[in-house]
Amino acid sequence: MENLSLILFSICIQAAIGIMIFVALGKSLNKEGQFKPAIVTAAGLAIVGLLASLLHLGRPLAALNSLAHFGTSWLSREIWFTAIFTGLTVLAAVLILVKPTAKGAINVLAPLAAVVGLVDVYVMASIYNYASVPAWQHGSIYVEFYAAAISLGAILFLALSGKEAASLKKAASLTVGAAVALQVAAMVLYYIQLGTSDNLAAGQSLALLNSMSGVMAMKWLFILLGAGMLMFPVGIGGTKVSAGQAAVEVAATTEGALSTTVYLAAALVVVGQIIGRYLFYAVMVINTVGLS
Amino acid sequence: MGKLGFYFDMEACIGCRTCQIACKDKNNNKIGVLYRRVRNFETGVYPRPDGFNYSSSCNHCAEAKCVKGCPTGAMHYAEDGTVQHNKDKCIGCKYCIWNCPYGAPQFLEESGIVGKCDSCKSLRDQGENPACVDACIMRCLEFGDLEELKAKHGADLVQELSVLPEANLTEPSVLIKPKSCAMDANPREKEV
Repeated sequence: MENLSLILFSICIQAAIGIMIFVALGKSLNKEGQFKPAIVTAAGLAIVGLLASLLHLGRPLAALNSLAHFGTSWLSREIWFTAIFTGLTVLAAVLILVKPTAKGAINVLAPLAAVVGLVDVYVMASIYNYASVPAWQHGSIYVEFYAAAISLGAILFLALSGKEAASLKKAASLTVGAAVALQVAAMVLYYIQLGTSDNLAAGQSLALLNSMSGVMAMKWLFILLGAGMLMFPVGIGGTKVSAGQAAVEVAATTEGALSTTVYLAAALVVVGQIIGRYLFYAVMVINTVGLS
Repeated sequence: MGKLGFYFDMEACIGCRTCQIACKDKNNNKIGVLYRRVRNFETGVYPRPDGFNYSSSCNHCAEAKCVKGCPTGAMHYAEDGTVQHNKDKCIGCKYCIWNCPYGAPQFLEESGIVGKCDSCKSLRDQGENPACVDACIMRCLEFGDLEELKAKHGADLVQELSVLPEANLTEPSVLIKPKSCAMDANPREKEV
């Protein structure tokens, strides 16, 4: 599992970015909303992600050298944007924990972090798109990364924000559905390109992907099941009670079942996207002499 | 002075790997780490089988993806235009390994950083040839000004083979005198 650090890094950072996007949206719709658990979780994920990225390095203590070439290197840009995003998010989390009255500052930090994060996802995908790895040289990896950020962010935001996110529930659920639908469409085009490429490295990547078709099936099963559960909650809402004690009880039960559904959907999408990211790195075959 | 690079005479190469060993010895590399590597390829089918050898190292590309992608500036151009690697700046992120379409940079487990062919700069600074050039028993390899090498070895030199990426990707500083079969499609690498 040489790529474990990169899987952890990219998933954690993208999930944190997604959460902050929905926190920013949530704050614009619900001025009173604090979204404390969501912001604190995003900050935690961003820190874990950054630390995980160090494990990928041969000389982690010299990691700051990577800031030197913003002008030409996508990797350098990624570290800049990820560091700025993490800084803004951690600052927002510290404020909300230590000085919750500083609402104005938090209301500025959250959308700022979201915008930096959105750019960061593009930069992250560009790193892979630029590399001499035919399996990564496709526009679909941008869709894959954005879909992961949006779906993970939306679903974790819903799971963490409870009633505060009530006004966003429908929109966030539909966004998860749309992101996953785009992810599926992009992957179809991706597999077609990989399958029809003359490049031997691409062929080897395809063979690797074929040998892991069970893992790939699991990825889509988890993601689609999770997104589906969120969009079409089942087994509830069938009982109609109009008034009195019974209505309150049914409402409470329904709410409980709904939040359980959100937790389960969140778990499924998170696991699905992690499996997807494992596959992303596992099919890496670098172009070299004899494989072109 | 024009761009510096290697010249490789594929027609003369017998695939003996002396260049590979000389390079490994000069750089004191561990098992599995090769800054110069010889590969053997088969082409055609009976009754017209053929084959060729290809000795490759860092091509010191004019548009090197390793230099552009390196986040630290460890991969850089020296004053003579060759691509050099600064060990002190390298953080071992391996992005150059992902970026080079020729497989030149190698990860050195013991030091946690990358290493690659520096065209034996220390030897060249003393007026000598790179170790691989002097070791080649068939005199297949030369290093020098590409324009001068072109003038010396004629116009039929190439920078692309069927086993190499398109030259416009990185503008490699390499000149190859190819065997005609090396231009054919679908060569098969042969394990030796």
